[in-house]
Amino acid sequence: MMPAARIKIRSMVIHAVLFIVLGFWMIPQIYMLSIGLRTPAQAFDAKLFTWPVTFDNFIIVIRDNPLGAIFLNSLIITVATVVIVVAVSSLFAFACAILRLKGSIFLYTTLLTTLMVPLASMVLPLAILLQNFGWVNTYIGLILPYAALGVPFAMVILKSFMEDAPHELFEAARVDGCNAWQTYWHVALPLVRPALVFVTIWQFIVTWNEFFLALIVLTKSEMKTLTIVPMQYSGLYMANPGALFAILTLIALPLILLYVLVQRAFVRGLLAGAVKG
Amino acid sequence: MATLTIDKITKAFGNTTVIPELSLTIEDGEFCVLVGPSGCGKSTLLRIIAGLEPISSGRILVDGVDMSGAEPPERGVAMVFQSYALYPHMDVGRNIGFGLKIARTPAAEIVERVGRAADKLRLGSYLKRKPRELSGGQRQRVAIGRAMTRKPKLFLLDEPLSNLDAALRVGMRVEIARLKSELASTMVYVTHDQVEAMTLADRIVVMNGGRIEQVGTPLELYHRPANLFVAGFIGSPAMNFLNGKVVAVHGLVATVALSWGPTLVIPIERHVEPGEIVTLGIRPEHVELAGEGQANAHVVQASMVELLGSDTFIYANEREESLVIRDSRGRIVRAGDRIAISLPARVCHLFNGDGDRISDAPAAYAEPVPLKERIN
Repeated sequence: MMPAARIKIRSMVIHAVLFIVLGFWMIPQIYMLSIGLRTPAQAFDAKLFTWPVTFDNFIIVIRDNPLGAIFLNSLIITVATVVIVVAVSSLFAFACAILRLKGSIFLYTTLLTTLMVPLASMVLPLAILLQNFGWVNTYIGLILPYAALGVPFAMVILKSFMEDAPHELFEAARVDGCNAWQTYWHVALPLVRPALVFVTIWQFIVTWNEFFLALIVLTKSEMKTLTIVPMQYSGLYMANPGALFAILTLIALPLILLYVLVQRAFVRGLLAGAVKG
Repeated sequence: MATLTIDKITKAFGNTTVIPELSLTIEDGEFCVLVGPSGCGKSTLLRIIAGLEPISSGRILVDGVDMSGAEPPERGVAMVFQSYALYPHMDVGRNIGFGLKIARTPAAEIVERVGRAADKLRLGSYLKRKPRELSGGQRQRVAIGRAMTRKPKLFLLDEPLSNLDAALRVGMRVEIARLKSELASTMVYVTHDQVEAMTLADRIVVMNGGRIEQVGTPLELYHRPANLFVAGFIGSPAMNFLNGKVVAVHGLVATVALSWGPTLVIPIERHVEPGEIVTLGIRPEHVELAGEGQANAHVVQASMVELLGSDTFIYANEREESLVIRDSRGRIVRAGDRIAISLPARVCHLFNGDGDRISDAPAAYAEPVPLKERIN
């Protein structure tokens, strides 16, 4: 068999396997959308697809809730958290991995321990703290705890990427006259761009989907975030699965959109040509 | 251009001293090559000069000003790294002009200086390419261009050709030699390749174990090595070393009996006692193939022969000693042949038991006379 034909068959087999895996992976998402498009009578039908489809559930959730304002609350909290997490963690990673500042490794290991503390155990002291600061029902009352919880993981990722970057590039920047800030901005950040994109997406998803802390901190309806909305369609004595899954679908849409927008930034081999390999 | 003075510096990493006290002055506009085996401290010394590595003690002076604690730009250095160290996210033009941008040079001047450097290095048509789209030689030229545009006082190059293949290395060596005359900058060049050192340097500094073994012009080092280390390091193939014993000393002439038989009379400049164990050095190109029955000829057995076309390398053995002979006259020798050789005393070097030179300068060595004077 010709090598070209063999490569084509190999590629087709790989793609076929990937499509099958993707199909299994997509079942929960498809099921979520499917239930959102069902009538109440079809809601508990075990089939993946039912007919006819209805948009009533989407109309109900849009009519019942001021979705625009709720969406804006979620967006403000999420974007602010992501910006703080990316800025703080990348600066910290730079200080640890490149500048090797005194005490930075001690701080790093201390911060790492926070990854091991479950959120549930922190909720009560955090709620009391926020109450004392008067930050209940404020954006800052969610943004700061989210950022504090997000920084350690982002820092681990960015630190390891910066450590892997060729050290000569940072020395070359020093010889070129860069101070620490210029080296961070002009050299370190572009070098770890794929990791920054990953951290951004990860933190966006985690913050956007966070429910527990938002439920505790936000008690006023005008401050609600999107993740609190589905609760009203799932109670002890009442459930509206169609509306529940419709709102869940709406919550997931911005995340899918974000991924589509930034996925091109996951560029492999960004460092190619920097140093002799 | 600048005069660089390294004044009694030492460098230690923890408890390990990599550079014991070292002093060196590199004159204004000089092309100085630091050469030595791996781990001899030459790259550390270059990084110390650049300001990338702090010194444990001593001073670094640029034009007489103490720069020991100064950052690289304050020292006026530019450096070409062994691994190129090009910024992968910037195109060639931005790579070359990055230092100027950081120095807040006006945009028009950056464009002009980048263009000039690119023309000089034949990179004009690659300015919009990323480093990954360039060949090894082109990347190295970009690295040189980046250093050039900043008009440094001190131009530092850390084994810039070591990652290139043999053919490209020769080409780049010629380029660097051309740049050397065009830039007229004080240059410090680190290499372990003695051909680069010999062809490019105004002065070579041979280092070993963090110490300077000898400083001199390429021909000084070749013809008058200060000790066994320099003698063995400079020259390819390496100098032959033969064990011997001083049997008589008459004034400034010593008679040396080699362990495999021959006796030679060598002019000396340092005192040596009869009975002292010495090492006789002779370069492969100075060993002569003698004719049958020629006086002072010694017979050895050729164990291996390498025919390179222009030269023939004959690896010979006699008793416990082995030596390499380089013949450029195309004589046919086969492995296993017994050949007659002579060791002309005028090109032999003699080293004492400590490895220090005791013989006088070989007659073959004379300071090169400028062409103009020779014509006159």
